Amino acid sequence: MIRQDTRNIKRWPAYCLAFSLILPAWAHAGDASQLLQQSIDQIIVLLKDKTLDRTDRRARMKSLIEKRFDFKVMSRFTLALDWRKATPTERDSFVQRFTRMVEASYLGRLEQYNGQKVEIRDERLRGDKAVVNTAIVTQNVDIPINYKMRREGNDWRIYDVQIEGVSLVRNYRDSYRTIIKNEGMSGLLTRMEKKIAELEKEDEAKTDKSPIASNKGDEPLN
Amino acid sequence: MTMVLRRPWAICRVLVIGAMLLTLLPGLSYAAGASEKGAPADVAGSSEGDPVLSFEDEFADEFADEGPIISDPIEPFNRAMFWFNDRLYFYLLKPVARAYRTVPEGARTSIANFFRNIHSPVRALNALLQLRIKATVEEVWKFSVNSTVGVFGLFDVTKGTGIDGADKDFGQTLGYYGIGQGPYLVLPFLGPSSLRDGVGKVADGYVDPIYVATERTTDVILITGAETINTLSLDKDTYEGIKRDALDPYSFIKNAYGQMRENKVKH
Repeated sequence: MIRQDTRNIKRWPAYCLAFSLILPAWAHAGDASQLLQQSIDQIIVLLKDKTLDRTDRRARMKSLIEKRFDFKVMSRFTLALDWRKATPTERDSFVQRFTRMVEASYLGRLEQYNGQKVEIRDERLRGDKAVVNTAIVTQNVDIPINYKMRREGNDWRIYDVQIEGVSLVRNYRDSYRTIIKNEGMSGLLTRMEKKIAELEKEDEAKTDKSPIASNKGDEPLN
Repeated sequence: MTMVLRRPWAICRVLVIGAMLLTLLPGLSYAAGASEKGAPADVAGSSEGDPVLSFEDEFADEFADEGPIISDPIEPFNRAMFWFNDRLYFYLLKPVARAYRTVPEGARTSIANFFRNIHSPVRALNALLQLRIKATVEEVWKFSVNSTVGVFGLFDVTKGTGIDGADKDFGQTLGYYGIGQGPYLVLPFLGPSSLRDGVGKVADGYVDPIYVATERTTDVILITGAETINTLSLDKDTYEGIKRDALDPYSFIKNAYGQMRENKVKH
């Protein structure tokens, strides 16, 4: 009797392993939405948290965003054929710049948040890909935003965003391809570097104007 | 007054002119003309719950070399027009719209509702031409209710009832019958368009109640200018955002326009 018990206990790690291997196969409709909802909720909590100072909030937002957005896959899909031609170094610098550029563009916008509701409306699943339909509900209009997500093990990460039917990746791809054709990959990377510097400078200027507001909790975000 | 009442559309004309006066700056907006008509002034609230959404498109191979979404054989001309519209926006339309923002937002929203409502017959007609019966009925319903209960369309009383109406124009109708975008076209004052959508815009213009009521192109230009300023005053600086973020704003807008129109023809 005792021997049997110990045998069972000894098998536990094996059970756990088997279980964890089966789990990904159980991922079903709703998982992608749930993870997305979780990320959105966490970001909203940060945006509402007036005790955080700006640098701190930014750092936390970035880590939340990078957890849910797969910038590497986004980069791959953005460059498409040019990704195949690019050297590993070029790929790395593209991913890094792409990430920074998207963050520089959108972090400031997220900070304009003032209580709009984000609704998850629908999810469609096919194999390892899902499309989650959401909408930002504002006073005047609903802004439909669709997230395309891919499964990695138990995790779902975003690789494209469609706003009112316009896919960001498809949009970037079109203009980046033209730039690469005319100026080469290095030309594109230089342009991105310049754009990031511009955006970050502008962002700093905005904060410098109200250095107190960024630390003082009760000021509205803008 | 008797002259006004003799024609059924005359009451409409009075309303339109009233709304125009409300915008305070008819003179300036005349010079401004229309712009950014292709911009997403009222793109939300369409899509009819996207019944024909195909998985094939949505989950298409992201590595596929699909080529540009819209051809651009006259890019130098388009870029010149883009530059012209850009100057027009920053030097004229935006300052005017900004000054006009002193009018309470509620009033401006009502004016926007009024304009949206008055264009309703055009949308309904195109929905009908596209044999989208549900959308047609919805649009006619919205127009009837908002024109009466909603006081000549000033209030969108059907909002939030789940009735979307139809966001259809003749460019989409042509697309529905298999006609492609044709080359990309940036129109001075009017903004991004295409050969097909440009033709569509002219056709829609002829059946638009504002044209039917006024019968004069100058009036239409005036009113459209006023409408544009009102729309811009409610807009949260979309264009500035694009200019700020995009590596090449021209191609960003071209691609976004192409995708948006493609999407609207599908749904």
